[in-house]
Amino acid sequence: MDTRLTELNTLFVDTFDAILRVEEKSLKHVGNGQLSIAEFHTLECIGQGEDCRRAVGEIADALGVTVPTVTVCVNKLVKKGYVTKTRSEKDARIAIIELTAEGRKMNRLHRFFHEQMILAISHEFNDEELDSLLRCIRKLNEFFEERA
Amino acid sequence: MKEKIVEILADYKRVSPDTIKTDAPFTELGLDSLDVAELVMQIEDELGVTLEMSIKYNTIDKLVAYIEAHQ
Repeated sequence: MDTRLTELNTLFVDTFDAILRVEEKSLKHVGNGQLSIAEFHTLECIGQGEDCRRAVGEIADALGVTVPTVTVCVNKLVKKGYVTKTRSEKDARIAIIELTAEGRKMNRLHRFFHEQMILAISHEFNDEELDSLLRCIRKLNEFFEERA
Repeated sequence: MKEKIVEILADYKRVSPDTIKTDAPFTELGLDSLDVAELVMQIEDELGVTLEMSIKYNTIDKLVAYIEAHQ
């Protein structure tokens, strides 16, 4: 393989892994360290719903995981006090998950972490480099979104 | 208000309020930006104010001045 491609592959794997490690390390002590990264992302997904509410099936679709996986995660979040679970008024078979005040706080902190991370990254590049980076990442994103 | 914020911060750091200098940058108090953001939310709850989650208030004195200016 072209040495550039070999390096590209290494960089992809290492960067992806490093982003996850930085996120995990940074958020570890937030909220008394009660939340895993997967739980932060579940709260984020619920927070994207209208009035911070979403049906379990909707959360599963958005996260690309199964309904039972979401159910297990949501039950843990209910116990920890970050979400509530109620039945839909229109269809009692549908469970509606809503962020509590504490859940909204954790979601806000998670968003803040991402804002700070992007701000720190942006300081490493000049304007021209930032534009190039944006173009490349946009292309990469399209590539992976088409295949996901 | 300053005393209350010192109390919140001391409680968060589990130290005596006497050891908190209100003009010391948060980083010197051992707080990173996420700690400050978490504290800002606690202060919002306790004081009934709305604050930006920003690192522009880097000391208690500046945070108090910001709250007073925006109340």
